[in-house]
Amino acid sequence: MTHTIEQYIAECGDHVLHAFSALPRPSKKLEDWKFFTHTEWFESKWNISTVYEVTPDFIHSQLQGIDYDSLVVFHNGEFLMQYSKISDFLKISNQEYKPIFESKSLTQLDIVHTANAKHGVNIRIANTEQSNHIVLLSVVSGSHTLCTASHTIHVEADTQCTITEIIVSEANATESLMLSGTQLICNAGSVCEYTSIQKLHKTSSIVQNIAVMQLQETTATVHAYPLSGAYNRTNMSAYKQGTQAHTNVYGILFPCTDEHIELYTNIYHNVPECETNEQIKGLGKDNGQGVFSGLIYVAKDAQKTRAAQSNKNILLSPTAKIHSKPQLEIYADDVSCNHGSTTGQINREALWYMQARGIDLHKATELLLEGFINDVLETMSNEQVQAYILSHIDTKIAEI
Amino acid sequence: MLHIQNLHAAIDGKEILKGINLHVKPGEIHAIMGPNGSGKSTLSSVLAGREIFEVTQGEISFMGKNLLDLAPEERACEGIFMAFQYPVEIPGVSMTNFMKAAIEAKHKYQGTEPPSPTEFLKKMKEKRAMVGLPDKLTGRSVNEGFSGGEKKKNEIFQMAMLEPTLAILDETDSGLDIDALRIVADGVNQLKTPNNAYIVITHYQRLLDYIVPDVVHILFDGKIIKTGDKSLALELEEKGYDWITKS
Repeated sequence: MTHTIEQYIAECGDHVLHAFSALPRPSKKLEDWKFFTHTEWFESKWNISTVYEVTPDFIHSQLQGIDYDSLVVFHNGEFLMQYSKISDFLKISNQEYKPIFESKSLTQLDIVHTANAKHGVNIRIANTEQSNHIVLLSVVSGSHTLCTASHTIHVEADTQCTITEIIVSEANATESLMLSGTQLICNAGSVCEYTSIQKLHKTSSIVQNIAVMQLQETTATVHAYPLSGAYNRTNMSAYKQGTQAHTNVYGILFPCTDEHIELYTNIYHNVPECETNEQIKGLGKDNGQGVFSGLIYVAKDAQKTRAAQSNKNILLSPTAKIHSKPQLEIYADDVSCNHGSTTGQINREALWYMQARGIDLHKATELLLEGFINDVLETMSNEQVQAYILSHIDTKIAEI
Repeated sequence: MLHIQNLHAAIDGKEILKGINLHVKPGEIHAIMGPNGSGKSTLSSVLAGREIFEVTQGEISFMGKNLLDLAPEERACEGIFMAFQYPVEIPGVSMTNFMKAAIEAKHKYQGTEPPSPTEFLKKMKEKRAMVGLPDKLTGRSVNEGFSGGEKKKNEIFQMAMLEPTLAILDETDSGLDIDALRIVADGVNQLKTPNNAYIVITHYQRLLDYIVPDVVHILFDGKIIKTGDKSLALELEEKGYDWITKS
């Protein structure tokens, strides 16, 4: 049975419908959605509860040599215990999802994200002697599927861990839409590296919300890799609630033919002595369209904030576009903040230099582009995840 | 080895080379001198195959092949090497990866097996020592953060790695102090064999004290106006370019 988004919301209860109706739809009229064109989502008929099978083979093929200590598998938003590996340090519950922070610019999509309370889990990562690697794998199946999932991950005090969340669509998931949310609560003294990878069918779309709350003396590193999809959007926010909370954000956007990839980041410094380091690189090919919009907000009391934001882009064809909007909003007076954005073409002089050494144009371009993204990719501590991402980016580079 | 006949080349419709004739035999070192704007760097770029220059007339044959039919990377694989006057920085590409790609490309072109990683690294170390290029630089991105002298030494290092048949040194001496100049020249002299040849492009006679040429050409306004032996360079140093351009 198919539903429009509104029919689906109505089935979730009056209070959900009420909240939905009170909010605007994403559209060009909203500053944060000015490049969004998929208004047809709200008219389309979606498959919401159709049952599809997913095989263990498919699941394992998607992990391509990534080792993990724990694996949490979801299929069309539903937690699949039988394919997961839950270690002792991990506690999973179905506790109701509550946003850790109330965003000021919600849209109707945010209500759809969390409308199905059964989709998504609450994960608690306990402190063990070692740093554990937790993989969340979410599979989307079926044509015109609309699926949602919202997770909350608590990283307990003084815990070190790496979390990799991979969202993939099966070949049959044409024109599907995934609305996914992950909240990360980093308790005092924790060090957490979270990587978000989305690899979708070229006709499928995703809106991924990532919210990070950091208590004192924490380091949260977020790697955003929206690898493919018709419309692939990541909204990432970080809120610092304790001093000495350091946030690193790294990401690569590489929109190719008919792809539209957006990364919106909002980092809020509400308390003093915190740090943010953000580095985003973009490559645009064919008619691919990319958007990077990054805000670093420094509240009046957030003295001694140190923040740096950089966005560098290379356009590989005259029709590719990358919109860059770096923003600093500073109300404190004793801070060190900088930001910069550059967009250019591939360095012709460097290509010529390499050609003069016998390297053909194709290989020279590959070397240059890999070199361009390397410093961002190399910030990732897990080399297996790094290789996984690089192999997908390399496939796109090889097609140039 | 190299035969240039009546070479004319232009950039953006402006003719720079106006009929160059030059013949280089294996084992020879040719020096090309000339004032600013005479076309020295254009000649080296045309030989290396830079596409912004248009060859409007003339022929170049190298080892019996028509050089003008070959892409720049093919010319390099055939054994032509140009040491850049202004070596380009390539952020993010390490010297090791860059050199590996160049060596692999050459072997692929020639249909030979590339060296094993161990052999490759051994050769890197050996050639680095020969030109006095500090170890730490090979881990860095190509030419990034190199001093002017290190960039020029890096050109000679690449030349040593690629073992060209014909090397063109485009004002390799500019920006070098006397010690660096000596190291560069020593490198060139060590790499010289009866089978390879050099074209050394320079403003000043100084480099030619260290790299002794067999033939000296004077390029002026896109033409070679005088050819002689090494004494021509000394005479030029003494009398200046006016002596030759006004006569």
